[in-house]
Amino acid sequence: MKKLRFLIALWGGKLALWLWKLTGHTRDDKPGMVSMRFCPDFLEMVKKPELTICVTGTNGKTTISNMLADSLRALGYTVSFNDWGANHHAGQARCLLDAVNIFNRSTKQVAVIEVDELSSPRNISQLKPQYIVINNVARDSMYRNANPEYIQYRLNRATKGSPDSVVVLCSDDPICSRIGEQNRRVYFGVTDCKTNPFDTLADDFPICPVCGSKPEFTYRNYRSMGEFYCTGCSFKTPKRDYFVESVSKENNTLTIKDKDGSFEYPLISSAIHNIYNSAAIIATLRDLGISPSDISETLKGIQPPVSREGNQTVCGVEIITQLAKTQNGTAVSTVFENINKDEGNKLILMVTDETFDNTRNYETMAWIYDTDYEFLNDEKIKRIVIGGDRYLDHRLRFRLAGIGEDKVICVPKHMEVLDYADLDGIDKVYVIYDIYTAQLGRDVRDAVKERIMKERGYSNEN
Amino acid sequence: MKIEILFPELCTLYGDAGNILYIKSSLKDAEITETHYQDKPLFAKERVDMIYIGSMSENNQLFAIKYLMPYKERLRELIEDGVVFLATGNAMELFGEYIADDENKWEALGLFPFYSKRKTHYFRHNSHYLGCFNDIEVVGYKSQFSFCYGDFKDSFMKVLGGCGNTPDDTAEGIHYKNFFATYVIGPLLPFNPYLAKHIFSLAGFEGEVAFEKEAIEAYECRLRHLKQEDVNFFPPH
Repeated sequence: MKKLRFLIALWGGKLALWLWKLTGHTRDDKPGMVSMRFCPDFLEMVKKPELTICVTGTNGKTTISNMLADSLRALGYTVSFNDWGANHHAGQARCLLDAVNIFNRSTKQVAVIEVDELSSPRNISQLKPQYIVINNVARDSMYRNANPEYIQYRLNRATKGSPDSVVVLCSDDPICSRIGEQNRRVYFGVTDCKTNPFDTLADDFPICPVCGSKPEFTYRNYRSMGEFYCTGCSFKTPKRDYFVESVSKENNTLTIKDKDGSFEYPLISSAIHNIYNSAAIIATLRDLGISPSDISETLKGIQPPVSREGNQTVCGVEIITQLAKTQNGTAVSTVFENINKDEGNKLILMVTDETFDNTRNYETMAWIYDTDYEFLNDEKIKRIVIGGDRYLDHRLRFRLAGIGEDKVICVPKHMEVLDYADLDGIDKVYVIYDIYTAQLGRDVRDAVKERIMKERGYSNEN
Repeated sequence: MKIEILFPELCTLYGDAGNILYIKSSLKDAEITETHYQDKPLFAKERVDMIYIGSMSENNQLFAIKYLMPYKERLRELIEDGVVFLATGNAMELFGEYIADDENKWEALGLFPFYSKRKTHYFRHNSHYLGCFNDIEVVGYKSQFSFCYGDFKDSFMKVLGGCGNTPDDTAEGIHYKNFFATYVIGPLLPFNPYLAKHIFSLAGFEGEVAFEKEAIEAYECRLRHLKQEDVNFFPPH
């Protein structure tokens, strides 16, 4: 009976997939939903490719899984991948529908599956992948993810449910590094990149989780990521199997030491979080037995997904569109820190998503007090305009950060930010948007671009 | 005026840093001591006017209880003496008799007659909150794994929307003398300037709270939204 249900789910899903593709809906997880509705054990019963890699954790899942899938394709493998961020069971089922035929036989060699960290215990224990890549565990939306300790608990349940999986972990993250005790663990880490990280309001590693003593860092690259040790017990950064020992921005390379020696790889992005993302990818590929030269050659043609950040220069003014996942104070603080450290006179336009804070949905504005608005209190930041339903909350938060009304304007409608976008003397315009305000972010960017061209004469350099 | 903030590095999990920021910004003349975990608390040595403690992770609750247990009687004495206490989020649970889940039970400070129970597999409760303390309406959010059960004749607020100490309870938090505890998380004080003013006044503060006009406008806006007829305090997951 169970098998019959599965076959109906498989054929129903395949039919839906064919129809969806026929109508141009190639990036939609509804066919996966069809299969899951018919057979809740679909993920367990569907034939997985010879190699299945799950990518999970708080930040960097989409980037790592995209680049991992691209690398494996470039290396000649046939790859199925839920590449539009559909990281719940329907997206995973949709990914696997693409990797089997109607007789439930594999048609692809590899599946790269992005997995939401919260639902990972059920999904990963059903998928039983060969590899589970976890880049970091950090504070995120309290509504969904509560706190990093809770996510660590969920990911531990996930790895326990798939004990034969190899777990690729970031050694520099004190929370992430403790996951997968019963699995074979592969650690990657990064040398001191002299990033001079700011101290943040939210600290995910305030005391040692083992004994409660004060932890110390030999160095810190960002947030709680770095080389750490506890002053009261033996808890410390685990030994790295893959260690980024140097980064050369001049030569666009990074050097990773592993058991076979030190090898040079292309530097895909010099941003510290992307150095960690690259290390996660290289560690996984190396552990699969792929040679450093093949990986290096492959990575030359790979770029991080561009949907999350992009730059354009218009008449000498740089316009930077940047995703900031609100509800996640640490992520927004990182964006604010990067803006603070960037050179030039800046104008910031923020269109954040606060529809979740309305009365029919549930999210909170508490995140703004986990976020370091103080990083924007800098003389090179000339003006900040923020638009959204909760503009009055932002206004109070800015005031408490010591940023006065001469510099910050908060307005109730997103597009009203343009009314106060004074470009006089500005070198860089940051357009900060949220996951669900991406189109608004693009609209604001385009309107700014048009205005610059109008004010300064038409010339589009990019 | 002396104010002690307990374990700011541990107990600012859900935007509770906003309360500390608001205390510092409003009570500019106060002597504010931030006591870090494993440091000796100021209240053990001398009387302070106000003590604040905020939300923390479940593991850190146990560390906090271990740390405070030797000072249990001193805390009782200060509460009886009228020192202002404010505990937000799950910090309230430290002051009950115990915290339990399906498998474990951890002794808490035992200063109030209630216990806390975590849901199986950490089932998360999220809701909007609207309550009333005397004639002050209080707005906020709840996001928690546990509820507390017991004798709440000394509750802090009456629930107008959302839930109390349990999902069906109309009593929210604890109010005894100048001790205030609530499950409402995060920036309770900047979100509720009238309540902040009242609590600060009990510690001897007079005057306006920080950016009072801006805080009141944001508070009234949220209050209006929470009073809409179609408001759903318990949105589906």
